[in-house]
Amino acid sequence: MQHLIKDGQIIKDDPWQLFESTDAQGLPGNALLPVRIWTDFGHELAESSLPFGAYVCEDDDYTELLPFLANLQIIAFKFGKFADGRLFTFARLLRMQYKYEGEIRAIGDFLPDQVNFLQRCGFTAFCCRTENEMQTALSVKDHFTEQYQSDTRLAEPLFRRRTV
Amino acid sequence: MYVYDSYDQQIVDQRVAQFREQTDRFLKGELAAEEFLPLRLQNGLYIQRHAPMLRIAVPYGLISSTQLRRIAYISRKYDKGYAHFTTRQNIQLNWPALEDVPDILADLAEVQMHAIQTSGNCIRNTTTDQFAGVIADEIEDPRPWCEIIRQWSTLHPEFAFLPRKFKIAVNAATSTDRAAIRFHDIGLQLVKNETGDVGFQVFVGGGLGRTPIVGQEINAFLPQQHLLSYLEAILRVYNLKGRRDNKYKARIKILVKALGVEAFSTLVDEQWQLIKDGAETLTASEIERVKSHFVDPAYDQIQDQTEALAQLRFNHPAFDKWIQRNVESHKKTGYAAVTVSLKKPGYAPGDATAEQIDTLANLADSYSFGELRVSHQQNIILADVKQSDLFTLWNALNALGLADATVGTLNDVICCPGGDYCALANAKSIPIAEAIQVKFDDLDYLYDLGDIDLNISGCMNACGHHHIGNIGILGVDKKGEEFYQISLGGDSGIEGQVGKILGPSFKAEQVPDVLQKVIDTYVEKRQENELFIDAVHRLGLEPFKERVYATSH
Ligand code: SF4
Repeated sequence: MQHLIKDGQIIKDDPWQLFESTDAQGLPGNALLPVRIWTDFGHELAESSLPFGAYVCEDDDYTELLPFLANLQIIAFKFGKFADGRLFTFARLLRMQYKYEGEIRAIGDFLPDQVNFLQRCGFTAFCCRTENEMQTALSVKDHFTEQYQSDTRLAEPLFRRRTV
Repeated sequence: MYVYDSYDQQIVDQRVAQFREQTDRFLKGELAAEEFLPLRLQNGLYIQRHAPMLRIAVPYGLISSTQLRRIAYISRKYDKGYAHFTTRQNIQLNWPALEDVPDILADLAEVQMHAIQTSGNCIRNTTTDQFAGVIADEIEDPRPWCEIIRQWSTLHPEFAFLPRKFKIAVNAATSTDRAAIRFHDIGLQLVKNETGDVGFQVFVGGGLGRTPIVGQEINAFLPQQHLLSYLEAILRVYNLKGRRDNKYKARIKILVKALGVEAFSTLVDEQWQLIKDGAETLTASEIERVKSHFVDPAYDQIQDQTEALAQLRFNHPAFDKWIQRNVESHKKTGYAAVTVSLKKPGYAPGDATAEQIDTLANLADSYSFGELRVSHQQNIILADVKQSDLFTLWNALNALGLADATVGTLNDVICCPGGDYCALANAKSIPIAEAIQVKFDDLDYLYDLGDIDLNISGCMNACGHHHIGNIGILGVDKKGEEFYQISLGGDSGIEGQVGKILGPSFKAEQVPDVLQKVIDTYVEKRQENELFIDAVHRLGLEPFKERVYATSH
């Protein structure tokens, strides 16, 4: 049973599955593949008629995915430890520097309390650990209605928007 | 000082509501302790040895009398009626109950205060010179820049889970550095280029802790409008590359050292080019808007009171000493900046009672335009006092027991809370400070010794900045027993030097005598008018070692 929020909505019938093996034989469609498989077989995957995604862990080099961004409907970032903030920057750079427009999904060990900041860094989907956490995430994700900085959702920092 | 508008207030209010909700969930058992931990730390709440400790932000050390009264009120209502001023220009409450913290934060928000990012692995309170804006020797007032950084770093979505804490300091004075910028993750020195434009000389990778390192320059002149994009580039490189496998190697200083400053700055430049001239480029109107909050107060056009003061000083030797040690000259004629020493034998350095805090707030209203500053030496500054009011002010402080004329002397100890309060401590620090203050309590003797920074930390985390004290004392644990390691020659100023360890460590009861020997050596060997720190640098450690470790006759 997954506890997925996507673009602010609960999604019950999401087809994407985490595929954790590095054995590239007979890959099912809608698999979120490790970076390693994209590095080794990216060009074949790009030509396949099946849809494939990717998942990235903190120690992975997500830039290996850059040649295939156009083929990736979804990139999932898998949190090993919620206190490791690298994935926030990965997502931000993917949006800002590499103009990736597909889905960026948080999976693994993140907290509902982080969803607000994750959204601001470019994440659009959140696969929560439990039903409870999903409900919390929904209720706290837009807790802040104002912010100082620009980010992937708001192009201008407060100082450019402030009316005195 | 900076006054919130509806946007600033809204952000702080929503932060309070968010924390209230998180605390509720934790108390209901829906949030695990280790998950609540980073959430509460980002709001300044530690669970300490005896009780939670709440660290309240005093942005760049500036606080109004109204805010200070609120601190006194909170300390009475929720705590034991006193507060602690820290070496990072913040305020700590040592005994609040967890359940009360959301209410405390709401009380703070009413007076435009908060505890956001006063702890945790995020960007902390930006600090600066306690005399910012009132001294003549200044490129320009650094406080607007600190406020600009405060806003940018507050609830920054990308940098809330850094490898480790991150501290930025700004200095604008040209001949001194009271903000110790070379010992911060990022140090910003305001500078003017040949064409008279104001910008920043940027240092990176300084810090204390286990591995004290002096920050290195990575940009000789950063034009001011690029400040935020450049900071963002540095933070981004750090967030990506900083070590996360070992918390003692996680500070940016280790990364800069490992990569070398050249390679590090290349990475920063790469990131910077992506965002330079982007949305975070500061606009002239924003810089003006923030600066407009820091214009001079309504100073009277008055003359210096040198002669009237000379007479009073002659008649009142204690007042004379206080003027010498605790009063700083001011950019405006007829005014002075007064340091109120919060160091008193028998009290923890930086502690003040609610009554003292209230009275200080009243004094600020009467004599200093209702504003105060907290210095990293854990003292309070009234920055805009008329010279003609100095004698009355001194009398008022005297009545409070706050007129000790010891600022800058050996008695003006910087000291972390140590083993009495802090769960991380290896050893107590406050009793050491007290023992030293008791031993060196003769004012004339202290004045003869002149400026000596004595800094004490209860463990390697170096909250008492022991590395950069002219004399540094560090609590260490030897097989469960408390010992103290002594170092000499540290300097937090423009020279930026880390002290050198004298030798094997001492037991608590030996420390005052060891210090006496160090001081005796200085007194014997000093040249005319030579400061302690200069004598240590000239002589080296040898003569001090010889005296301290000489086998007794
Ligand atoms: S230096 Fe150590 S003992 Fe002192 S306050 Fe910091 S962590 Fe605690």
